[in-house]
Amino acid sequence: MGSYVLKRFLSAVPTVIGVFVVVFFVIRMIPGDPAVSMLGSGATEAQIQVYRVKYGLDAPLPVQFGIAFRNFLTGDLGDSISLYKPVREAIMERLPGTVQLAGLGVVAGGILAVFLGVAAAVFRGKWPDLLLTSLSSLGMSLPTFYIGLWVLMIFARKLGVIPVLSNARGVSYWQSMFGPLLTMVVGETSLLTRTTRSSMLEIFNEDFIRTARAKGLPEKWVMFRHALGNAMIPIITVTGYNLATAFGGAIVLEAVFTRNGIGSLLIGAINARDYPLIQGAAVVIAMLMILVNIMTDIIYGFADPRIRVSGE
Amino acid sequence: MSDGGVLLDIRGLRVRFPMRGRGPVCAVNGVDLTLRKGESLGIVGESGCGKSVTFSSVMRLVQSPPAVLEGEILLDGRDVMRMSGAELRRMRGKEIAMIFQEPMTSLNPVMRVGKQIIETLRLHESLSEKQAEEKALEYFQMVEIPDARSRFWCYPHQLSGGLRQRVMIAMALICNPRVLLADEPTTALDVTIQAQILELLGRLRRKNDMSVVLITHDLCVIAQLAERVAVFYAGRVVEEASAGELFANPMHPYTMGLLRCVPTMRTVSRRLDMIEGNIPDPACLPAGCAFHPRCPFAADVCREQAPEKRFFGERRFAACHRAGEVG
Amino acid sequence: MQRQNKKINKLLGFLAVFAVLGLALSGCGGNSAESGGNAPVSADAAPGGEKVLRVARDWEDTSWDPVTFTGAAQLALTPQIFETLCKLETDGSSSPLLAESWEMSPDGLAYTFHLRRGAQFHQGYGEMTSEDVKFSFERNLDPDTGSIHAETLNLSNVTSIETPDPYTVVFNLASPDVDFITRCSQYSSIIVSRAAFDAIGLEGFASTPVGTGPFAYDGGTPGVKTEAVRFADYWGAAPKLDRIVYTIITDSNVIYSAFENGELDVIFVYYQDKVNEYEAQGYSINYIPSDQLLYVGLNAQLDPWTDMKVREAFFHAVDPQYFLDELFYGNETFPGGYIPPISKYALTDYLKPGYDPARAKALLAEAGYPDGVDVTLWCVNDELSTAPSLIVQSQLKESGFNVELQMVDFGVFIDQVRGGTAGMWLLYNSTPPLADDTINRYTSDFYPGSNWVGVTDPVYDALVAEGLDASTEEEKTAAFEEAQRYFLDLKALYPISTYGYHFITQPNVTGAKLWGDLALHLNEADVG
Repeated sequence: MGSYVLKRFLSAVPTVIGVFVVVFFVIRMIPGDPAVSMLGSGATEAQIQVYRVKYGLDAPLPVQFGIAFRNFLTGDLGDSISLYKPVREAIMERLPGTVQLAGLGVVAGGILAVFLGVAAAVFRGKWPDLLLTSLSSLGMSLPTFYIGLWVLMIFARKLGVIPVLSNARGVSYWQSMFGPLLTMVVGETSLLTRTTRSSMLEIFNEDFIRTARAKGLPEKWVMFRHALGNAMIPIITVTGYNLATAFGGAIVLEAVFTRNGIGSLLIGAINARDYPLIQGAAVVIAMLMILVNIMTDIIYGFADPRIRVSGE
Repeated sequence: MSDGGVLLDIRGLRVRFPMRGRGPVCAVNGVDLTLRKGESLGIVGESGCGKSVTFSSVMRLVQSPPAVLEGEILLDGRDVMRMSGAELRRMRGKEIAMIFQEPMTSLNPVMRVGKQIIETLRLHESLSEKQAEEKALEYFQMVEIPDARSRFWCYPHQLSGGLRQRVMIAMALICNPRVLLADEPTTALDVTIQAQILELLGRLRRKNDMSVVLITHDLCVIAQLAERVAVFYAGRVVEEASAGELFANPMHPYTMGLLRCVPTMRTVSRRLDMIEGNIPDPACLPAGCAFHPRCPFAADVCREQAPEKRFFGERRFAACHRAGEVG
Repeated sequence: MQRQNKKINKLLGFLAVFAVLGLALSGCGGNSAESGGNAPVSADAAPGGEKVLRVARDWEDTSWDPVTFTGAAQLALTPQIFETLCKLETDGSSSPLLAESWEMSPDGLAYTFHLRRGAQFHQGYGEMTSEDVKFSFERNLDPDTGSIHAETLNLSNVTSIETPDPYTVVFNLASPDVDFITRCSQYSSIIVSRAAFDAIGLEGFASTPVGTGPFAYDGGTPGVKTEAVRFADYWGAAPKLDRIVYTIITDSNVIYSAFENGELDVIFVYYQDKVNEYEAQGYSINYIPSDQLLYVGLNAQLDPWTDMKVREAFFHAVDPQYFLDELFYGNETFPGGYIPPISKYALTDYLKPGYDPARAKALLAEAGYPDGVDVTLWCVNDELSTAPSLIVQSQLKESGFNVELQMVDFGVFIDQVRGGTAGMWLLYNSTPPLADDTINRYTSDFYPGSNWVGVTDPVYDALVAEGLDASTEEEKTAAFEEAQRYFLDLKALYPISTYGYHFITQPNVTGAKLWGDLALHLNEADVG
C-alpha cells in the first residue's frame, strides 16, 4: 500500500510539471499587458517600463520561463505582482477557507445525498422518489451562483438567520459557513443523489441482496450494509468529481458570500494579470485535484476489495 | 427419515406478476406441496416453470406488490403469508434457510465471508462477537473448507466456486434451520465439485435432521439427494412421487420426457430442452393441459380441459388425463 | 493487513459520522442562537457602542504603497490613512495639511514648507519630520519601489530637497513650476514614515500602511476587506467614527442585498433605476460629478479615420443629447471639452454638439463612401460600457457607418487601443486634478503608447510644451486652452458626457463625502 501511494505520487510529478508549463504559456496568451492592466489607461511608456523591469516582465519569454521554472522546482512560486508578497504565502493564507468550504460541502452533501439516494431507490416510482429526482434535476441545472443568490435572498433577507456579508465582524464561523455550505450541498447533492439511486437500483437486483434478505436481515441492514456497500464505487467516483468541482464552485461562492478564499484571490490575480499568482494558484489547484484523484483511488480499495490497489 | 409430521404445507399457491400493457404473468398456478420433518424433497422442472418462485414465496422474497400472492404457506401451522415483518425476519435464516445457484453473486462481494456468517448468527442468536466467530469457524470446518481459519477472512472473490458454495451452505446452516431450500445449488459448479457438494448436503441433512428442498432442473441431482420428487410444469405440480417410483415408473408424459433426456446416471447431464418445443409463455398458457402442445400422447380432452390430479397412492399422483394409460 | 483494513474502515465510518453530527449540531446551535425573530442579523454590530461605518465597493487595488497608487481612491480609505503636505480642495485650491504654511521664492525656483508639529505616524512610528518628507518624495526615484509618480510630480525638475531643520523642507527646482503646490496636494505626494520603512521594508509597505491620517490601518485582506480604527494621536480634530470597515464585493446584487439588510452604511450605485428605488425608500442619495468623461476616440492613423471628412462625419452622426436624456436621466451634461470640469485647466464650453445625420452622410460621400463604411467599435465588456456602445452603434448606422461591436476584456481593450489597432473605441476615462498628464498624452512623444488617438501634430505639441514650461499660471492657462481648442478641432476624440457617481447612505449616516476622484472623505462622518 505504502509503495503504491508513493508510486502514485511520483507519477503525479510529470503531471504537475506539465500543468506548470501549460499554465505558464496559457496565461501569457491572455490578451492584456500586466503592466498596463495594473497602471490604468493613462499610463505612460516610462511608467510601464519601470513596472516591467521591477517584475521581470521585460525579459524574453523563454528567460522568464527559465527563471520561473527553476524557482518552481525549488518550491518557490515567485512573488505576487499585485499583492507584494510571496505567492506561496498568499495562497497559504487563502487556501484553508476554500478547502474547508469544499471539504465540508462535499462531506455534508455526500452523506445527505447517500441517504436521499437510498430513499429514492427504496421508494422507486413513489412520491419521495419522484420528488427527489425532480428536485435533483433542478439542482443540477441551476448554476451555483444562482442558487447562492437564492440562499442569500431567503436566509439573509427573508429569514434573517445569516448576514449577507459573511466576512463582517461579529459573524460566527458557522454563520459565515451556512450560506455557502448550503449552496454547495444543494449542488453536490443533486448529482450524487441520482448516482446513488441508480447505483442502488442496480444492486437491488443482485443475488446477494436476496441472500441478505433470506438470512432474515432487517431491510435497513440490507440497504445500508449490503446494497450501499456495493454501490460505493460510483458514489466515490462522483464524490471525487464533486470534490474537484467543489474547488471551482467555491471560487464562485466566495464572490457571492464575500468569503475570503482562493477564489477571490484568483479573480483578483486575473484582473491584475498577476502572472506569478495565477500560475501559483493554478498549480496548487491542479495539485489538489491530483491529490483528490489519488485519494479516490485509494478509497476505491477500501470500498471494494476486488479493486485492491496493486503494489501491496 | 420422512416419517415426521408435516413441517411445511403449501396450499393453493398462486403468484401473478402484473405486466404493464398486457395480461399478468402467472408464474405459479395453484401449487400444493407438503414437506415433512426430515424429508428431502426434490423439485424438478425447466427454468421458468415456477419452481424458484414457489420457494422464494415461501421465504416471502417475492416483492409483493407488484406480485400478487394467493394461497397459504403453513410452517408448523403458522401462515407465512400473514407473518409480520419481524416474524418473517425471525423465520428467515433461523427456521428456513436458503442457498442459491450462483455462489459468486450470492455472497456480498465487499464483505469478508466470515463476517457475512457472523452477521447471520448474531442476528438470530445472542452471542458475543468472539463466540459467534468460534461457532462460524466450526461450521466452516463442518462444510469441509480446508484451512478454514485463513479462509474465514477472505473476500468471496478470493475463493473458488466450490468453496463459495460451501460458505453459502455453512451460512445457511449456521442457525440450525429446520428447512433448507437449495435452489440449484450445484448448477454453477463443475461436475466433480457438484458431487462433493451434494454429498456434503446429504450428510449434513442426516446429521442435523433437517428437511431439504432441492430445486433443480437436473434429474441426476435429484437422484443423488431427494427421497421424494415433485415435477413442475408451467406453474403447477404435474407429478409427485417418491424418488424410486418416479424414476422407475413415471406417470406423466413430461416426466417421461425428462427421464429420457438423462442417458445414464452419474454422467454428464444434458439440458432439458431435448423435449420437443418450448415451455409455454406464462402470460398466455395454452387451454386445457399446459403440456399438450408438446405431449406425444395429447388427446382432444387434453386440449380442452385442464387435468385434475390423479392419485395412485398416498402422495403419488400425476396431473394428466391419460396418466396410467400411457408409458 | 486485512484486519487492519477492517479497523481503518471502521475508523473512516466513525469520522464521517462525527463530522456530520458536529456539522449539524454546531450549525443549528450557531444559527438558532442568533435567529431571535426576523430582525436582520446585525453584522459588524458595534461592541461596546463603537461607532462603525461600513462601506462597500466593487473594486480595489491591492498595494498600500503610495508610490504605486494610480488614483486617490486606489484604496477607498486613502484620505483617512494618508495625508499630503497640502490639501486639495474641491475647487482646485490648496490648503494646509501636514504643512502649516509655505512660500515660493521670488524667482519661483524654491518652495519652502513649514511642517506641522506633533503630527504622529500610526503604529508608534513617531512624529513626522522633514526627513520623512524628503524620504517620501525621493522614494519615487528609486527603481526598486516601482514608483509611477516621478513624471506626475515632475521630479526631474526638482534638483534637490533640503531639510534645514525637522520642521522645514525646501524644494529646489530647475525651472519654475506654477503647479508645484497642486502637485504636493495630490495622492502622488503622500508622506510616509521613514522609520516604518526601515522597520518593515518594501513588502511591509505594500501590506501595512503607515500614515498620519485620522484613522489607522487595523488589519484586512487585500482585495477583500480593510479595517481602520480611529487614531488616538491624530494631530487634528478627532473624527467621530471609531472604526471604518471597508469591504470589496464584486457582485452588485450582493451589495444591494447587504445594504438593504442594514449590513452596509455607504454604497455606490451605478444604475439610475436602483438610485430611484432607494430614493423612494428614504435612503440618502448623494451625487457627485467625477473626474471621468464618457468619450469615443478615433485613431487618426487608421483608415477610414485618417480622413478628416470621415471624422467630421462621425461628429455629426453622434447625438450626445440622447445619452444625456436616456442614459443619464438628466444628471449629466455635455462636457464641451475633453478635460472633465473638475480638473484644473479644463476647457468646458468650446465643443458644441452638432448632430446632423444628413450632413454626416454627405461628408461620407465626399470622402468616397457614398454607400457607407464598415468600422469597428471597441469597448470594455462591463455593464457600464455596453449600453452607450449600443447607442453609438445605432446612431452611426443612420449616417452610413456600419459598426461592428467588439466588447472585450479590459486587458484586451487596452492592448488594442494602446497598440494602435483599434480605430474607434468607447471609454470612461479619468483625468487627475491637474490636467497636465491628459493634455500631454496626446502629443507626438506618446505615440504609440498613451496617445491612443494617433494625433502627431507639431502645432499641438508646441502649444502643450508652452503650457508645461509656462512660468505663470496665466500663461499656462492660455497655452493649455489654446491646445485644447486645437485638439478638439482635429476631431479625433468626441467627449459625449460628463460622468458622476451616486453614493447612497443609510439615513443615520452624516458627513460622509465622496470626491470626484472617487476617494471617500470620512473625517467628519458620523453614524447617528
